[in-house]
Amino acid sequence: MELFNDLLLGFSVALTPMNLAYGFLGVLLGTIIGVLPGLGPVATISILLPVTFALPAPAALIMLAGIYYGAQYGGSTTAILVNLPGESSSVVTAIDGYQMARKGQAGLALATAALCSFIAGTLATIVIAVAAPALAEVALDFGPADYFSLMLFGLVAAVILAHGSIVKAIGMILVGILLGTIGIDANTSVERFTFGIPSFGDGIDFAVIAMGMFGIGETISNLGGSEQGRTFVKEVKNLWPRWADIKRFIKPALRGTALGGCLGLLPGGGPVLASFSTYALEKKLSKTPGEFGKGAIEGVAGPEAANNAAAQTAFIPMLTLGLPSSAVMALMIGALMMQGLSPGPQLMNQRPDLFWGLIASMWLGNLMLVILNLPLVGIWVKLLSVPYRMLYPAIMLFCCIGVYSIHNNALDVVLAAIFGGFGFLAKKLHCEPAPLLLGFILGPMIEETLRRALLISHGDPTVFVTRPISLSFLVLTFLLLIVLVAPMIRVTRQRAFEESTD
Amino acid sequence: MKAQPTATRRAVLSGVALAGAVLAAGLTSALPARAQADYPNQPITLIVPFAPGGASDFAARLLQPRLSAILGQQIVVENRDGAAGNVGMDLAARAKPDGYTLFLGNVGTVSINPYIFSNLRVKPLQDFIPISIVADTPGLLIANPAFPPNNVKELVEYVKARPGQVNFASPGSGSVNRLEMEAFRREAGLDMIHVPYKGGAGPATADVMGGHVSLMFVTISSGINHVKGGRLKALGVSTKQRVPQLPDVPTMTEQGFPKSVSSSWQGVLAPAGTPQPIINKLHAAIVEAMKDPTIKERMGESGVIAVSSPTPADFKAYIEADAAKWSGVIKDIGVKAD
Amino acid sequence: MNIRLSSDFLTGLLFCGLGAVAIIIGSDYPVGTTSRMGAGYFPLVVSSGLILLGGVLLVRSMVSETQEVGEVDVRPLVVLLGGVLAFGFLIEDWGFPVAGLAVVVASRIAGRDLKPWLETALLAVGLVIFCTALFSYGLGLNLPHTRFW
Repeated sequence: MELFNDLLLGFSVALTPMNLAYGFLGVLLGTIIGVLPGLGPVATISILLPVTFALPAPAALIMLAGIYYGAQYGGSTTAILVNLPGESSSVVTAIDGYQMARKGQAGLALATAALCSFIAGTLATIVIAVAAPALAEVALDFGPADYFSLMLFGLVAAVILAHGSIVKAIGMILVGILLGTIGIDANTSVERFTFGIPSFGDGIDFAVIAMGMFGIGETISNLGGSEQGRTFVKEVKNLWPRWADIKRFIKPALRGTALGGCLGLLPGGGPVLASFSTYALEKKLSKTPGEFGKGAIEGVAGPEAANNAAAQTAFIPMLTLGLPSSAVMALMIGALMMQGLSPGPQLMNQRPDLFWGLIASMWLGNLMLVILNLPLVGIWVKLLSVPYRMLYPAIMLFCCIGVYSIHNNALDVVLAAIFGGFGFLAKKLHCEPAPLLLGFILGPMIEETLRRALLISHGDPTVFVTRPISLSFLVLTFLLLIVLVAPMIRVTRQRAFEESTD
Repeated sequence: MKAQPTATRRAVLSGVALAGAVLAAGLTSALPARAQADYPNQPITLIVPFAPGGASDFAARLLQPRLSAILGQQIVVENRDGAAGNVGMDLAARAKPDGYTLFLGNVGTVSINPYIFSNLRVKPLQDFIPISIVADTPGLLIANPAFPPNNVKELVEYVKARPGQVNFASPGSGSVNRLEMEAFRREAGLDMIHVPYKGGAGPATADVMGGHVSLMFVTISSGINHVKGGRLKALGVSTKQRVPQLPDVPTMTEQGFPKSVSSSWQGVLAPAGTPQPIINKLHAAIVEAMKDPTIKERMGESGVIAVSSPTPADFKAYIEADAAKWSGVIKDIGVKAD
Repeated sequence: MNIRLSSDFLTGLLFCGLGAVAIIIGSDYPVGTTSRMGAGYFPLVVSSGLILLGGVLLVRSMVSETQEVGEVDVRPLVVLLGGVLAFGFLIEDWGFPVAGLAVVVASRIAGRDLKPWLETALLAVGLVIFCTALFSYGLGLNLPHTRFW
């Protein structure tokens, strides 16, 4: 019954008119910045952090958290409508979501994304309320060797994302990893591939590559294509999910929630890793894997549920241990410190109102988001009926502003143009951008954890097989490889045919 | 790639109507002669070379309201993060030396980075005039609770018996916490393996907590809660006297390592060429601001000591000594990015 | 422009080229040993892998019949990228409104939609006003103002 009382306390905090208002402001702002390409939650929370110092602690935290998961919802909207993944976690959503939109199912895709996110958010909030401290312990057990094996598993799973040539997909992953090495090496402070440019010291921003390859590259090839390529959306049909659709997406959504909830606990690429391992899982479980990449509803439902669940469970290490698992969580800790509060195990006992208030607000935030987003679906879909000749100049302008505003750095815009050219080239060569982006996100983590694991073990590579967690992921990776390679051998003769259908 | 609009874009003058208060005010500084007497007559930008939420931002945000009140002008905190703080430092060094752009330097940017990054354009000791230190955070030697040694003496014995087998973590290869450990390691003659992390103290602390790495130096503010909560144990603090927040933790000096006195500090600097009267005025204002009980209390809660320098020259001497110390350690262990 | 080369062949060339460039630039970075990897170790392994894959594609393009690259429309490629570059070069010295107009107009040229003129002009001005309101005033972003008004 203690849990019940705690939750009651939480809702009594979260349901005060002021906290509700800040929560709504947060999710609204989050949705807006999520929809706008390039602007991410980290930048927005940074801008708004000083504003929240004047607010009481629960209101400040509720609003910042709202921005964070609001941005997760909003990010999928742009990914589905115009193939522009603004957040790294919506890269996967773009693959099938955009194809659905082009088939005239934009409304269905958006509603599916919103509903699955809500399901995942609700379940993840319950998990946080019930088991946060215990789960935080599990996260601590993960050592560098375990992370390495997990990332390796993720990278192999990334190959499944590809629906064309596997060799090219692996190549694009490697190009992405190579791009990820740009910047100051954390271990030795050596500047790698920075060409002496100071702002390259922290590497290239994810949004620069995503805007370039997806936004600009895609537009170039749309404009260059035939009239058919320019007719954006054929005809808009079934705006809302029907019973048959719900039956199709409910299982992927639940599986995605489970997978995402677990991966969200881990620092680094939680939501990203969650969204594409779920995609890989669904593609493998599906009876019709051929539909994936061409507008499969499961390819939207699973990853959307996964990234939202992960976004919620990412709060666990921060709330229970005071350890940030991502840049956003580090900002949250900064916000708490400015309030004179110290995040950590004591927080739950010292300020139960804050702890439980935030948890209650998470669920309320998700509810507000689904209420906010479902009516918006109709408006977004209308937006697609704007003639393409009006739409693409706007997309270009938004991309430019988004990229520029990351660091107020014009060089980033120039870089985005270069990646735009590269994205177009890649498309012409039938290389897909998604594996590159995932390599770019996972590559630095793989290098970091590999080097760290070997430093800790003093150069002994058996550490990867003697630690049970690491070993399990390596076994899974191996199984995945077999699953991947087996059909490849079978269809080698048909490959040329398959590629030409893309 | 330019200095922030406030400092550079005189051309916007015609657009005062459009520009916000900050921008508009930044432009009238085109008349330098008059500026000194009635300084400050427009908002002052304080460049923080790290993202919001970090230790430097924390100090700046606490200082901001009180300093604004004393000077009668708004202090605008601008976060310009990137490349270990070098991006913001470079920007501040090239700003107009009129007292309207200040820099919140710290031990990393001012005392360490010049010796780690050989292609750094900024020479902090020449390109800035130190005004005053504002915050001082001692280092804390922490270890996993299951790690056998419970104090520095036991640690030395333990590591001496196991050369090259004990790992220590750090928030980065050029971080002050790493250098603190390196200095201690050399003084005690210990052979340990350095495991660098990135992304602040969080990830490294997590791995010490999880038992993947045995020990590390952190700032008191990032370690104190975990020590109080029993997730980590503290072996020593790097101060001359014990700190009030952790009265049971002995100093490194007490335990036979008097050279292990160090801290992470933040201080305010102005671009070289800023007129002396302005420096003096700012110094007096900062000293006044740091007396504020709420600042002291807020900083104290996080284990940070609110301080100020008696004169700007004292702060300069402090930085010189600090830089000499860390550059010596860096040269000894050979961390250099070439 | 119609490129009648095999797409596998060009991709192989691209991968080999990128890998080689990375190895050449990265040749200064200390490689270290497997237990204590230097800054150059990981990029070297990845670049080598990329060259290897590029090689596979090159060989494959020679032994089996593969798809051609096909038609490439140069106009949107050049003009659209030019528009984005123009935005990058104009934004800091000429301000957001000028840079914004440039990228919208360039996009319309790239898509062969410059005419009707009025539509382009209205679209460009409308978008710039909308974005200034939304980003500068609504979200408080620091977009540079123009030097003209």
